[in-house]
Amino acid sequence: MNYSIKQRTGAVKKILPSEDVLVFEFESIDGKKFAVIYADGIVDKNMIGELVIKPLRAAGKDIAAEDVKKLLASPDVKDGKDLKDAVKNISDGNAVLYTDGEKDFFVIGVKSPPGRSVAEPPTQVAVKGPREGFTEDIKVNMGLVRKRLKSDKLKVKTITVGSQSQTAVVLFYIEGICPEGLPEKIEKQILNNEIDIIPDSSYVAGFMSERPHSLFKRNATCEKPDIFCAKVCEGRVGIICDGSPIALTVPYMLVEDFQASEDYYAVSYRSTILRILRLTAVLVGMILPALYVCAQLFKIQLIPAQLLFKIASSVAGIPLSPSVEIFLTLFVLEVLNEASIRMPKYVGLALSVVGALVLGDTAVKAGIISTPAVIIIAFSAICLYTVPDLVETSTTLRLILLIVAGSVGTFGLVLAIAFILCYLVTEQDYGVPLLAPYAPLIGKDMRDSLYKANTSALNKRPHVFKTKNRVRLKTKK
Amino acid sequence: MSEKISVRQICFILIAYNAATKMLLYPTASASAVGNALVFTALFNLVLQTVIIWAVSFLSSRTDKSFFQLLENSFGKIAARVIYAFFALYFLMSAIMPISEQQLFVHDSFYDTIPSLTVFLPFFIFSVYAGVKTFTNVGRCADMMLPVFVVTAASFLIMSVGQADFTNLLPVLRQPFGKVAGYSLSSLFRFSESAFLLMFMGYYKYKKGDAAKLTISYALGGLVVIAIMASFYSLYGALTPTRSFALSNISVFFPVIGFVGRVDLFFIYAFDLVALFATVLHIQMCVHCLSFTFNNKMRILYSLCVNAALLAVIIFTNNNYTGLHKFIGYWMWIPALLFAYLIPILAWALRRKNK
Amino acid sequence: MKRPRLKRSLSIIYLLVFIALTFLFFTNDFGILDLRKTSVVIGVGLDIEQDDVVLTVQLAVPQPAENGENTKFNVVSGKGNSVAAALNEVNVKTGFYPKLVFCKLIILGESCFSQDITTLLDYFYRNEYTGLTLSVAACEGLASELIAQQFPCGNSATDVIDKLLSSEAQASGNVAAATVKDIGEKLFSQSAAAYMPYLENGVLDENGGDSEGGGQGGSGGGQQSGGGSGGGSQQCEESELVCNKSAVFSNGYFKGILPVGQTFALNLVFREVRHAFVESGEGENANVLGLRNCKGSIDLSVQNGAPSVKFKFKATAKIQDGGAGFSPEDAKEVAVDKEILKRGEKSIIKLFEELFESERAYDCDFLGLRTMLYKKFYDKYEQLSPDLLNSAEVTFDIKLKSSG
Repeated sequence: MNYSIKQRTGAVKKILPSEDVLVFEFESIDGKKFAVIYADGIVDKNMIGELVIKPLRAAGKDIAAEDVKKLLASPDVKDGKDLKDAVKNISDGNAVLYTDGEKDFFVIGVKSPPGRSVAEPPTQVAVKGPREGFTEDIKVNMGLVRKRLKSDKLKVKTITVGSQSQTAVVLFYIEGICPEGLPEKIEKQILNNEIDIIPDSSYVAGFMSERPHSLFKRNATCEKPDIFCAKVCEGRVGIICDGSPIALTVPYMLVEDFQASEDYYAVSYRSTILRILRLTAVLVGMILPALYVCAQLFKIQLIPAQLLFKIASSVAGIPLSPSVEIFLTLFVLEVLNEASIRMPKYVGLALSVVGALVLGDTAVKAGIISTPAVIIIAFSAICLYTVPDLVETSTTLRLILLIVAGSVGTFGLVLAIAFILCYLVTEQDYGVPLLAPYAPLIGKDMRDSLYKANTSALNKRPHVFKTKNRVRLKTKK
Repeated sequence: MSEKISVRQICFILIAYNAATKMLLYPTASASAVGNALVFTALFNLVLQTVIIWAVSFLSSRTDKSFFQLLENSFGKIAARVIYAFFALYFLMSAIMPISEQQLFVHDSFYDTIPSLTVFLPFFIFSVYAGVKTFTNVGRCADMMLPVFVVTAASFLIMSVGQADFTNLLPVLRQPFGKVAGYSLSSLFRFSESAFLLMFMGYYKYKKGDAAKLTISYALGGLVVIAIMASFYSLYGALTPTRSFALSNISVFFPVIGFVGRVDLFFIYAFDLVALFATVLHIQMCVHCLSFTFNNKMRILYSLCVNAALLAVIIFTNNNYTGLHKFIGYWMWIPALLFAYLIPILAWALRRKNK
Repeated sequence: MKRPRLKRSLSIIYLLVFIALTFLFFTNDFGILDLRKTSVVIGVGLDIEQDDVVLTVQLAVPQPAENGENTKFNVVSGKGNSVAAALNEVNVKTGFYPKLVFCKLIILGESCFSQDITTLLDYFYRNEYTGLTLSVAACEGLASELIAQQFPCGNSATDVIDKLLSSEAQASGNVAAATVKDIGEKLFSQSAAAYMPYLENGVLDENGGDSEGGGQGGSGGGQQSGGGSGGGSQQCEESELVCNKSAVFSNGYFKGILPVGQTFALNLVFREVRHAFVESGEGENANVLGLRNCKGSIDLSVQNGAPSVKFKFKATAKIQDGGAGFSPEDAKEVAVDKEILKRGEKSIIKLFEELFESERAYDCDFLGLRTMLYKKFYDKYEQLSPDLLNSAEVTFDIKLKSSG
């Protein structure tokens, strides 16, 4: 076999002909030839210089492959297997080192993809407590987890998903705490899917859902390593996907979305009040527009007499029916919301002014929509954003409830709620009911549900996970 | 599909669902029939049914078999299926009254003007969906509904007790005995939860003391109904029969209502949520029986058929609900006596050990 | 996993239902009556005109307003052989469907006294959507005129009357308010008698009202809360409506008017009076006692086959107005002299005596004695009921305690 540098690098370049895959050939002082192949932009060139090229300058003419490895200053050196492996590693951001005349080659971990540094996540801002958030770099994210969980029981399992993207998906769980068989089940569920690319963890979330069409999500998402680690310690499996700052945890319970990281850093009664406030806000946000339409169309007694006269004065002369008026206002809100997210920031500010002041105020003054309708929809939107993780579900439900209320009336609203409840109580993934610990009622787990007990009272892990190791806090007396 | 249910969940059903179905038209119907003796007829029926509930729950302590297995063990599979078919028919019939009451309640309390029948029809969409659900789902729904029931029932009582004149319940036991006994007999169908308990047999794990828990729960639910009835009659006295629904009228004299409007309506709607699940339980039981009689995999079909039959009854009797209620009042006590009183007692005679 | 065909069909059915609901949502074609097609009735006046019912409604008609409330009140009358027929005429005249859910008042004109009032109120007892919380009052003259009357400060008649019958006014014992439920409950009880407030048009007399009672009307001080249009400012205090008497009805028919003192006495027995005034003595000994913590009741007992009615009343008293002129020495004395308390008790007894006399004179059991007899002494009801009002011995248990 011919193991010349030219032939070896040519073989790689044949598979990876793109211009960003660079081949750097160099010689030692004694004239031994080497070649480093790497993908430009995702490796640290300084590291290649310092850890690979510089030490190999001293290599002798007849140096053996084993000795080459010894000369390398990098701590992350692996033996390469074949051409396929070389290509994979180059694509992955590692450098491949070929030695002239040698069969063996080495993979050197010099990966340094462009990315942002660890920062506070925008969706889970905390006033009190840690402010670190996951980034798009899986290594950084793994480091953030390791920093918090130093236990030897922490198991990290990496799988590769995506036939084209070859994205690394890492499963974290703690042996002895995580229910037996759960990580394997999740791994199987993920690997059962063949897909080109995994751009975000939400794709992985889709693979894990037993009911992909469900309106309700089936896994919790978090951007903060402290929450992630706490959930893993409760017995859940944490999933981090390369390229995504959003980590997933399963099994999921609906009540998790009403819990914020800050709840654990504040006094318990304050946390309880805040959780109940969030639940109330979400319920009000979803039901209020529907109830307003019901009150106008079907049951005016829902509104106290004095308020009714005020509302009646405001809606008198509005050309749209109450239901269409609310729908239109909601539609405008959603459009404004969508546009303000997508638009560049400098336009976004102008859009807010146009949307809120010009559109809203003018529409009311022109008598197209009434003031109460604007108030109701605005308040509803604010309420729903108290639980950002549920916004996708709650806004959809708000629309459904509005349509039911505007067509069937108050009874329709009650029926729709009954329907949703009946649906929710049936749902469960990995043996954990979505509405636990309320349906089924698990008294001990209610210490950290909407009610938040003192940390000292949270001495047991959630019973719903059926873990063997239940004790998480022992207080020495 | 898991059919397991816990004793706690059954207790919740016996408290909340038991009370919810009896708090719609029953107080007014009783007041019309027996005046201020309404409390005593309800008490008599409650005591009678509580005894049966105890008998069934105590039977559960003697066997871990389901009622179907007991029947199968004693009479063979075919006979068991036939008996379950009759039970399905009974549950179908027993669903008519709660649905009809629900319909009237909806027309009365959810709308300012009498709406058409069509606004009630979406109930059957929910009913078809919920009808398919297993006992596990039934139990979890009960977990969710008990707090709603407790809050709403307590609110109704708090809002009414202060305004009620309890001397309206006097003189005590002055109604002719025949009248009171006759009405109690015709109300047997309203106190028939033992049939549900019979169906739950074998699906929950009996532990020591569970019979007492179940019995007390049922009595508690019944006592809430009696308290509401007493409060309602005390509030309206001779006018009680003119008020169709206790719930929509019981709190209107609460002083706060005059200032902040009909806040009680929100409690009424929340309570109706419980009543909806309680009503649908009859259909779920019917589907459960049919799935044993025929094929367990066809639950959706059974649910559709059962609801279609009930829909037909409701449409047919839409403008003649008084006729329907009279008919049920006259005749429904007979199947209720058989399926909710006699069979639960006779179940003790079934062979509990395998052949 | 392939879903069963039936399950898939059901999903399609649910989708179709949702599409149908969306269609209904945008068309709103349920034959419903929404807020914009409805006129909100806040008060109703009933008169009888040649055997026809004349129904006058005060309607709240919200006007377009960008900010806040702008409601106009219109008065519309309808006539028919029943309340329902008259209401239908209102519908015809306004083009709006009149909703009674926010109606808070029914006023019966003097012409209604010739009829069985249960016939007039029948509509309200039958209508499930109206509720029985509406206040009922009788008035002198025509209810239609009273409803249409303009009051100072732009208040509507219903608002003014509503304030006259408010719980605050009731707490002072001046007005014996009644709801449709109260009237029905009493008229359909064994006593078959009820009372309701009686509204009079005009300004108070110089003595501050009726002088026949020794109580609330006796001195000018107590009259303020009984009459008045309910306005807050000085200009609005001009009284145009007075409500401190009661009309009593038996078997649905009008029996008479209870004067101010008797209305006050009625309230002492049946209501939670929180701040009342009663005269104690005459001439130089005249004092006005302010009563607090009032607790009154009426009790019926049967001893040796003879019925006995006992008026019970307890309160703590404090001198509010001394008859012999003000002196700092007297005023600093908080404790009320026993003699003054005794005289106060006598005044109250006198009021109760007069009240019971009216019950006998009108043969109208508005005190509910027959109902009490039925409930407590059912066995003796048949025997004692016919002559109960005349045969009952009346006793009093009145205790005034010094608040000091």
